[in-house]
Amino acid sequence: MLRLLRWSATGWSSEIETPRYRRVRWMLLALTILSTLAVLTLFVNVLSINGINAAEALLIPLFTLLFSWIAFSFWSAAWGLILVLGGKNPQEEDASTILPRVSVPLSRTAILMPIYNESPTDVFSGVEAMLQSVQATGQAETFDFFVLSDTTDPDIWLEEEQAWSRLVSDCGTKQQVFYRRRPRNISRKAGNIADFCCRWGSQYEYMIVLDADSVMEGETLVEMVRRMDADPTLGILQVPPAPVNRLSVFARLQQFASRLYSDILIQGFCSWAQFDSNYWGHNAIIRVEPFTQHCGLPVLPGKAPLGGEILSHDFVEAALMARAGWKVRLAHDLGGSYEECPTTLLDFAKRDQRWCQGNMQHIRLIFSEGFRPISRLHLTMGAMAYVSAPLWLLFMVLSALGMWLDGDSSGAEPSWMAGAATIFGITMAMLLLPKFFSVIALFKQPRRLQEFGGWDNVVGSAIFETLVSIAVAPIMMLFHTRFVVSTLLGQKVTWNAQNRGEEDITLGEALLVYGPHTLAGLLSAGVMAVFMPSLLIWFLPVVFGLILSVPLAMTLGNVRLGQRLAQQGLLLIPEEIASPRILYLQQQALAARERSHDGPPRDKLFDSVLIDPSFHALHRNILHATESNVPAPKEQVQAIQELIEREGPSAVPRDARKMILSDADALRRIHIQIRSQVRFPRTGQGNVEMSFS
Amino acid sequence: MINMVPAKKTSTREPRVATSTSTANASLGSVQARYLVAEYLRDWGLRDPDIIAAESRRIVDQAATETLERHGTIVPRTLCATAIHLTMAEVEAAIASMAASSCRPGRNGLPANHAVVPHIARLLMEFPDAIQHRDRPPAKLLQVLESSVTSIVPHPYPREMLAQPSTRLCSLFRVRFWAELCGRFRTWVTHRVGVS
Repeated sequence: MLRLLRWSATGWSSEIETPRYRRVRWMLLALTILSTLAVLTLFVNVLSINGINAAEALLIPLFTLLFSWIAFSFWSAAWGLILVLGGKNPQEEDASTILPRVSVPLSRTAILMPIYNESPTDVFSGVEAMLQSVQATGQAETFDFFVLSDTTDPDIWLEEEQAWSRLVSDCGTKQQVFYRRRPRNISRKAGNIADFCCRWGSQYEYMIVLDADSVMEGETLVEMVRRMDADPTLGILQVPPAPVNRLSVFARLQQFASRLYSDILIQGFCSWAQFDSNYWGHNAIIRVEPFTQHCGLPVLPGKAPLGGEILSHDFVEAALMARAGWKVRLAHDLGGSYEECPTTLLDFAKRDQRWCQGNMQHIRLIFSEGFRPISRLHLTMGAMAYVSAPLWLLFMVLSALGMWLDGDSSGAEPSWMAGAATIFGITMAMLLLPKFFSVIALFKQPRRLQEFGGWDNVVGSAIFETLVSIAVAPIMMLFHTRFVVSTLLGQKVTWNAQNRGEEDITLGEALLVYGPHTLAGLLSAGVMAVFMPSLLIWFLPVVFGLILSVPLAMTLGNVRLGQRLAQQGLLLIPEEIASPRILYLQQQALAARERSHDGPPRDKLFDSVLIDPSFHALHRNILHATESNVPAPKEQVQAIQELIEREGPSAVPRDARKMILSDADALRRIHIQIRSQVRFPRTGQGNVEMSFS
Repeated sequence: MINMVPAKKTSTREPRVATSTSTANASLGSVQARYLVAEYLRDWGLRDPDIIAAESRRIVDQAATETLERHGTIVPRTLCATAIHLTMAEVEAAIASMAASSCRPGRNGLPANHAVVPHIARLLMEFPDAIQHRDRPPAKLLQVLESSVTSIVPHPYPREMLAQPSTRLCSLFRVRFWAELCGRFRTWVTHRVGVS
């Protein structure tokens, strides 16, 4: 235990760690403990007014845990504000940022784009934009792009191949863009990256891992490699991605909040995390060799959902890298890193459901051997992001129960009211002040203020965002509680592709999803109104959001309203006021791809690969080159051939399509079968009208 | 063979040479097969009618011979399938050969692996005689191929990425640790008190 405490205090060995962030860690720890103790004393005093009953006794440890959780976040943000106001760089002692830019050749780097049933048009538009951006830096030779597909949908698979073929034919051999699809989706994204490391990793010094919706400026990519070259002890360098490109109210709220508030939060985070920082799964550069040696994910003991294969791989990989003695850093000062966020509350919740299960698996790792203390803290924070919701709910239920046990008159006592109001005020201040800090920080950042469109835009948007986040918080609390409970009950989550489209929510969908929230809000308000009317005022912010969840979800998912807010200058982010070059290139590439789409629609691509000889050859070539040919059972191929002969290729079911597409020989046989039976009057170049004999 | 076809384009259509399968009493099967092969070549991007006509005739003849040798009789359906199979094999081999002859090794020593020629149809439209010169493509075609032939993936250099050992809980959180501690405490107490 003593060793653990000593370790948390010292963190990195003395030759790496600088005294400054050691002091910051101690300071934040002390402030968190002191503020928690102070408010806890007040809380116990309030409870003692009417005597502490059983429910209130349970409240004390719960309050300590929840308050220390928000107190730590608050002090970290407050320290971030102090750094911004003081014009200090939280990582200024680090050598890599002050090394001169020397014109030595950069180390070879692979840019990885793992994809899973994503829109190929969007994915390859992003790749195309990055290619152009990298070429503009003059460092194109440094980078090779790998589109690593885990796609299971056969139609999307074929569309990916066509999109890749088009991209490489457009960009020629100036830049290498490789495409590979795994026949089996083992270990999801982590397995996809591991497969790259096993096959081609030895040929690259670094890999830059992206998400399907990530784009990064060429300059940023080059700078990431330069920093890795400058510091041979750096294992992972994460560049914080800014969410962009979305239009719905909810997405624009997230984009604005992330852009405005992240600055001081990240500054605060960097000041204490320093070389024990974290990896967020994408928009990061990783040193391939140590990653391959030390970051093969362990299999957790026990069964899923809490045991088995690790789902949220990023935090664990960062912890493993740090355990092996490599630095993990956050490049808070680097821009040009973007991603896209969910557009509706429901999509956001769905993503959270996957992350919840993944982060809850980390609880075991927190208590496992070998990890660094700060890595344990990251894992705890990841788990607490979800576990805090049921704890918060439990806290409210126990509070109500405690008061009910004390009798309804207990809440009317003036000293009780004053004490409770003070605790409530302090808690709300600690939750909301970090947002206010970000606005204050703009006094010292006139350029940033200008990028946001001035004070009117910022203040109006921040107030709007704060009000909405207060209303949304209880809805998310119920969602998270459900996710945590279902995970603990052993329900597994399917990790599907994120919905990246933008569609409004219908009333029916909203009622189906948020009806239970509304019901819970009405029920709790009714119970309190009947049994403890004095308590209702304290729970008003919670029940208000729950009762209004249906109209709120519909409003937040509205794309037109989001656009109208942008026209009014609300929730604008710097990227919307002056579009960065990479986003401009991405939009251009997207528009060009949509404009020039002359091939068959997605659901006809299977027909096309069976009929069109060049597409057929391309597909078979890819199967052979990527060693992903999986022979299908002969009887099943025979049955499919008969089905095609009777009803045509469109009649082949989805699973059978995937099976045929994975077997080059079966595909060839069916191709010959179709091409030797077809009678077609030609309707135009490249189009054939078919009738089957 | 496909490269036996005259490469020179003529302004007037050459008279078609009569072959055993295109005589007046040619079977319906070989007519169908030639039509299908011609369509197949057109779908690859070949546009020269003379090359298409000559190639379809040659391939169907070859297919007829093969079918006859294998089955003893010519069934139209089998003939069509054999003809398409031959066409596919020849065109794909020609393209693979062109890709191989023009594909340079990858950058920084990475050997090229399984290259593809994107938009082959466009290329065949531009160079209708490309298939005939698959072993020794002309310089202009080679230049075009060099700037378009692309590797699907680089050559792999397989190695293992071993999973880290399963995570063992810190001693404080293991039941065994506490059991051992209790055992030691009991031994100590026993020793101190002197009870055996």
